[in-house]
Amino acid sequence: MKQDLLQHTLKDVSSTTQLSLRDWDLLIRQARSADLLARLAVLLQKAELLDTVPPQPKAHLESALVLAAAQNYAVLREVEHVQLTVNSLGLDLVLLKGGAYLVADLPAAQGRLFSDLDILVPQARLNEVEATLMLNGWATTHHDPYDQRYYRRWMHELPPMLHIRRMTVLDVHHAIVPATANLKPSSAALLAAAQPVPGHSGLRVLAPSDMVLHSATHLFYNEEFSHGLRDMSDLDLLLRHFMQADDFWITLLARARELGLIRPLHYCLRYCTQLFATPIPQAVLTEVQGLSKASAFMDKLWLKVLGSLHPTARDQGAAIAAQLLYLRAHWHRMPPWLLVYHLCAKSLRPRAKAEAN
Amino acid sequence: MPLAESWRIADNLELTWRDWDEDEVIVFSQRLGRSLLLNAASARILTFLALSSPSALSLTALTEQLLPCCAPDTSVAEVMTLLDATLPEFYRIGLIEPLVNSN
Amino acid sequence: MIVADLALYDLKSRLQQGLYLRTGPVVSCITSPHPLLAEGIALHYAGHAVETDFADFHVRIDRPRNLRRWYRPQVHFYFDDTPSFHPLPADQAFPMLEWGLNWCVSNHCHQYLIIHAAVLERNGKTLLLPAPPGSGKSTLCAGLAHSGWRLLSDELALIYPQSGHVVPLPRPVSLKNQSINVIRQFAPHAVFNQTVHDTIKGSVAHMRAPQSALDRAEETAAPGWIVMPRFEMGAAPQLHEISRARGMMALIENAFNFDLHGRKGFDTLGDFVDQCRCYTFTYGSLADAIAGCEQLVGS
Repeated sequence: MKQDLLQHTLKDVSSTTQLSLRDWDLLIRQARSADLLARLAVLLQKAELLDTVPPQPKAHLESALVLAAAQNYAVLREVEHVQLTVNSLGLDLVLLKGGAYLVADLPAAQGRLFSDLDILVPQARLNEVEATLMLNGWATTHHDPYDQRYYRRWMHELPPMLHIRRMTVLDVHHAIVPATANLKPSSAALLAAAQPVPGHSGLRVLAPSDMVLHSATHLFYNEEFSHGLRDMSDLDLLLRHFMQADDFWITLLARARELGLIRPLHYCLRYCTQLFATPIPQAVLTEVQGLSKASAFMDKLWLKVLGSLHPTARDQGAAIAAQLLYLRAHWHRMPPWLLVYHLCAKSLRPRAKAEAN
Repeated sequence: MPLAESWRIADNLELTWRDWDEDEVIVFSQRLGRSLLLNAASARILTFLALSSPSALSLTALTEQLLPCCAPDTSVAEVMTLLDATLPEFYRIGLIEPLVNSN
Repeated sequence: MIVADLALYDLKSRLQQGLYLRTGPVVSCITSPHPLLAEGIALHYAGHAVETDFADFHVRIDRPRNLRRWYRPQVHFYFDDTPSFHPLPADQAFPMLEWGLNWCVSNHCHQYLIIHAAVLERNGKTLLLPAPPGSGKSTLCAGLAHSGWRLLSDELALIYPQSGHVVPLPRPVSLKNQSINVIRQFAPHAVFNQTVHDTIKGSVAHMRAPQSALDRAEETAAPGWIVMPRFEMGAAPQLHEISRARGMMALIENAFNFDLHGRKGFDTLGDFVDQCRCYTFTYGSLADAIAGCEQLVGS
């Protein structure tokens, strides 16, 4: 019998006191596979429940905390390196996603595992930034000319850059959705509203509303949902933190309208409520629902795909749902003629290359 | 290539030492993510630089501090040879930085 | 219940569903339809406990769903359903299990500081042999395990930071090429499975862990000696004491996850080495090596 114990636990962490060892076995596997083991450990720590966990599963939570702490440290060091390079161009470094949560000391940074660092630069300075990064030890990846075109012309970022010595990966974005998408939120607006980080001059993060909108847009308009539950958990933590400010909801809704991002916001709020019981005011939910429609069908697709994707948690429908959402994501990111070209080109590439990756 | 005039410990190295009253010592920099095995002489050089941090030490000052720690008949030239061998290595690892104009 | 309590057909049937096997602090749920694996487990894990309910790792060794299922058959190692490593020829199923279980621990057990070393115990103190492949540490480890030293592990020294002790991980000792015959002769009562040839490491066989390793699997051990062995054919035995700094450096250089533990890891290893005496040891025969280690106990 399939059981999404992970989502259930993240929604109510006190439920762990009722778990049998067999349940813990499932939960640890689901959490590890979703990259949420450290997040689970942190939530248990904060709820003062870590010591109630039986010793065998607890060891895995402790191990995950060691890993997360080491990664946090490494990311902060990497930010320093990137900052030196970008600041040398007279530009503030604007961090996105996990890196931003970490330097701004947000709850969403806790228990988060990192792979790459994401930054946002003005499109007009993109070439300059790329050139300076290369002078300072970063190299482009994805050397296939098709891939290069895919990223540069059609997506919203440079191909990932790898630092030769440190072997760290940097994703340089100039927008938060692809140039070819039918949504066109203004990156200039995001950059203009980016806020300095106390104690770190030359470093900025997106304004709270923009951080939420970016994360929501990234999840609901990207083709990759393998970290869906993790991304939703991040959104839940961001919302719970930012909603402490009185004007947060009003600002968020206004900004979503201004940037044309009501629909991803709608999905974000709707599914946060369902997955994690995030305390979003009913008035806010009603308003986004009025501005954007989500069909029961879309609900079914998203909820299948946003939960734990571990084989013990998901059923047959999840794979089909993922396929449909993949197509939809592409539909939104590319005009139809481009979509056909992209999908054909992907399927015609020699297998050896795919295996090499 | 001639050695720079003055040297200082790099910023924020987060150095930790471990020694057991033996000839060799281990130093660890959390920031660099590296551990180093140092003989007594290298350990002393790094210690003097660390003690004067954030100020730099000139080669002359460093030599003056090292001489009393060496064998009685050690010459200044021998100390300079030691610095010639050690300082560029510390620099390569990222432990220290040269200052071209010492104030 | 231990593995030896199960008849072979019963063991095979459990392996189809998932056998929960305990090895010291780690329980692995092993699934495999492969007969070689059942035989290997029956032999090498006879004395190990069979558990239920919770496994630290779920691993599967199985044939792929493609042509290699039948033609020059291969096996894959799956970690929680995700294939890891390149597939290997099917006759290497048991070594693959062993390498895979080592991988599970060294990649997921960061509650420990994990050193790539053989580790044994005498009088409550550990003899830690950190060494890169080819230094002869496995042969020495197998010989010592049959000479009054309790085997804790032939590959992975697990140091628990909170206690500063080494935690046993009793599993078969992996031996290659000539070492296999050396140990067969040295310890005729030692139990081996069939040698597997043409692996990436040459010819490989596994020696069952002596019973004492299992009986006392819950007993951790305090720091004792760090010895860096070097086998040199025909050389006279030379045991040289070295500085603790050098000993600590050997641990750091052979650690799997030192970078994850940062400053705390440095302090843990420093505290460990505080209580150790450290040596390099060159030897030309197993007998000399065993005698050399005996010397340490006396001093």
